Amino acid sequence: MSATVDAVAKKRKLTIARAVSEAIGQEMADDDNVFVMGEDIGALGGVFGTTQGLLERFGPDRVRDTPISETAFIGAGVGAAAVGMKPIVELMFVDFFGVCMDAIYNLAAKNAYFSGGKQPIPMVLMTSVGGGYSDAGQHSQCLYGTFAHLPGMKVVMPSNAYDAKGMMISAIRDPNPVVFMCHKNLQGMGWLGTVADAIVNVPEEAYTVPLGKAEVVREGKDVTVVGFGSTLHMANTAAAKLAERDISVEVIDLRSFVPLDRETLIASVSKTGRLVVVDDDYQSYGVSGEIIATVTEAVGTQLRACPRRVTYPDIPVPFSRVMEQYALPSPEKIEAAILASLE
Amino acid sequence: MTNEVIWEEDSDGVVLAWFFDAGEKVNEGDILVEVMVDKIQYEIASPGDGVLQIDKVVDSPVIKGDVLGRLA
Repeated sequence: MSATVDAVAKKRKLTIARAVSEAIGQEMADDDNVFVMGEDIGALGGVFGTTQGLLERFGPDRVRDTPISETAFIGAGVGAAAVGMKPIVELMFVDFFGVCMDAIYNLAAKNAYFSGGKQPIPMVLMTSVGGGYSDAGQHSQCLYGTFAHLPGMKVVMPSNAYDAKGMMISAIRDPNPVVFMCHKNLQGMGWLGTVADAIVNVPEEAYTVPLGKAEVVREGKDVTVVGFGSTLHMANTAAAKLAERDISVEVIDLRSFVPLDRETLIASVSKTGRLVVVDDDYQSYGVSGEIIATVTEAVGTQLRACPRRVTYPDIPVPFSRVMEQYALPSPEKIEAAILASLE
Repeated sequence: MTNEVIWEEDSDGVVLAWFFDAGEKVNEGDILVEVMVDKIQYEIASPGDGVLQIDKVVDSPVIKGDVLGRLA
């Protein structure tokens, strides 16, 4: 085998967790101000693997294991960002936000405004969301709507490893606080099960994927289905199945709750005339409602059918496996919603 | 050249993910595949350069000593 450089960059696949860790590592190598803090993010590499390998590379000053005290270390992250550092702070499960929410939504999210722009908070709050593996009411929530509703912070969630790396690099470089959500079904943890389509080719060099842009991942003309994270893959499964029946489904990967890419959503539904939103967060008062309102406000009179949503019911997540699986969105439920909107 | 699985326990494992497709060129040290045994994940690195062939696809059960793949 010769020693010449391959003209085509080598393809290699990564899980979302590895892609996130690689992104963080590249930014840390580039900028001494970037550091990571959180529970088990050091020696363990993160319970979901999002910081694997970083402690060995950068040492305990820049990769800091914390006590179980979100109130303290998320507050510390805000303080560090306020004086010019770029902390990546991991909130292990989004469900734990209750004990540190003041630091997030009142301090981090509002400081740039209160200071007339003079003291931005370039903090990345990395967190894991989602259920479906019997982790019950306090470890399975999504809460996209809870965070997206509060002004002053970006809220994003990649559905695959390519987007994950590019979006994490964008998030670290962004002067705004960014809530970076990783869906547990997609990260790459074996004991939890990982959706295979989240594991994709990821370039080795650093690159960015813009925050605030949705992506049409499958073109179609009969109906627009909007998904994100885990539900994006369910939507693709449903779309592939319905293609066999000559139903043409356009699938959008939302990728970003805030900023919300209203343009892409409106343009798509202008074309198809029908909308189905798949949201594994609680049904009421959240992202699915915002998407439907956004589209209806713009092109409501042109719709060929009422918008529909496939969501999680307004109940605490059950521990019982049977009950939880019954409650979750699924490709079958999405198919049914699409067919109903085509009637 | 074969790429064998090495672990201590005698329990069953499962192939979680391949990070390269069959037919792709890989280099020594590339992480090729992830295997889970008793909820612990193991990365298997390539022992050399070559073109990857996959014997055990994702979700295949594997036991100690199984051949996961080969390099041509």
